[in-house]
Amino acid sequence: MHSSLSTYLKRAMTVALIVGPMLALVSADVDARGRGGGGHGGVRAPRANIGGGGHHMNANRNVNRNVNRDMNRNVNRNVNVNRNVNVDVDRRWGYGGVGVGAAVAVGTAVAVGAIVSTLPSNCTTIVADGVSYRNCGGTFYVPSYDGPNVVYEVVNPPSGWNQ
Amino acid sequence: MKIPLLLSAMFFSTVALFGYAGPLAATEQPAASNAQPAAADSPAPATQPEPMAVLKQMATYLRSLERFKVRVEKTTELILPTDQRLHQDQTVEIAIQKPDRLRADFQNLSGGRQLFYDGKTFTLYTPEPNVYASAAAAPTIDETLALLEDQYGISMPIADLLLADPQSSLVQNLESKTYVGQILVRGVACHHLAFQTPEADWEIWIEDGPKPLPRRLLLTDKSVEGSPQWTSELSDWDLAPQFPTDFFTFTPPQDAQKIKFLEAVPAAQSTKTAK
Repeated sequence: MHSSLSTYLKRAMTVALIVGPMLALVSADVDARGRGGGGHGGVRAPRANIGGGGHHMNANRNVNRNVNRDMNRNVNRNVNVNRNVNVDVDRRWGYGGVGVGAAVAVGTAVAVGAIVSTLPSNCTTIVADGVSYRNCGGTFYVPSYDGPNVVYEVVNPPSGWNQ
Repeated sequence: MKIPLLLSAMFFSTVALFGYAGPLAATEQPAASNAQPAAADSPAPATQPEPMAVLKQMATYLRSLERFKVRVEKTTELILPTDQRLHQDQTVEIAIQKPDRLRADFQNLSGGRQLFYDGKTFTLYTPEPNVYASAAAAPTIDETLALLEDQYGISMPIADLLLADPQSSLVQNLESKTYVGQILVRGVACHHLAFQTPEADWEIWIEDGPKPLPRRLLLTDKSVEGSPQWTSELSDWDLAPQFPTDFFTFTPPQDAQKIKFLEAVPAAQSTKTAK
């Protein structure tokens, strides 16, 4: 179904549904991609480990990965002025006055292939062909892991689904 | 007559302030001791510990442990586009049984997540919203840590210390190494070491005594604008944990749904692409 290219394209097409605090983006950045590579205009975080990661990792692989991901994220930001794409699972918002506001769903006409980190509130879970979908007002999402975080990809309705 | 006295008093109160028992910043280069050569019959240790030797002791000791559990509390500094600095906390409990079992419990306020590695597969489980994904792992902890980081974008805090040879990843491209001194870290007497590479300055605090365990790590990433830092505090070391038989094996809870990794391993994708 996915080639890695299409995965990247999907990422590039990502449209954020959620208007939320900038901090949310920040946290996901560290959590999923905390191996350095600041400098793409976003949040800067230190590398995740002293040696840069795993024992067998070489620098080139690491760099390539960062470039791909960051490029996509830049595209995200261009598409989405609200800039918030990811919400970090390690954090609850709204304490200490640091947060900038609660998440608000905007939910119309979402492109298939878009990836969001938080669902609207009106979702039901259905399982079709062994795949777990979230039906949120007629828009279907499939959860998957992006790094350590759960995200939701907008998909076509499961076959046999009658609108 | 009075001035030298005053000076030496200041010197010693500074030492006391920092709490170092040993000489301050005894680097490889001769310490700046020419200021007070005659003033003090200081109780300096007979031999100055060599930073690499202390680091190696820790590495050897960690390697000798068959199993252990440790709690890692990491604070990561983030620099926003506005240059404001924020600090994010992360708590992870890591359990290791060599050579091929690992479990990490990432704790947070929304149920956390768990990583299981049983020698064959690894599984990431997120209780809220009750989903998990599994994939083939590598035969050793080292290789699996690399796989997680490279292919799946999952970083394990203190991964450097979990490797078969933690020393090897810590000491690449060193520009300087310093035995800073001895100091109390959360009630534990520690050696304080400092290292520099072209891209990072990092420090480590290693327990002084028969169990040379790492107690704190700190890294300043000079390769990122603004040089953000992180600190990892290592506590609750358990060197003889009793793990239940299936502790490292993931058993899906009732109603847990299996999902995919967005960025699957290329091999797994190609089999799926073939229609």
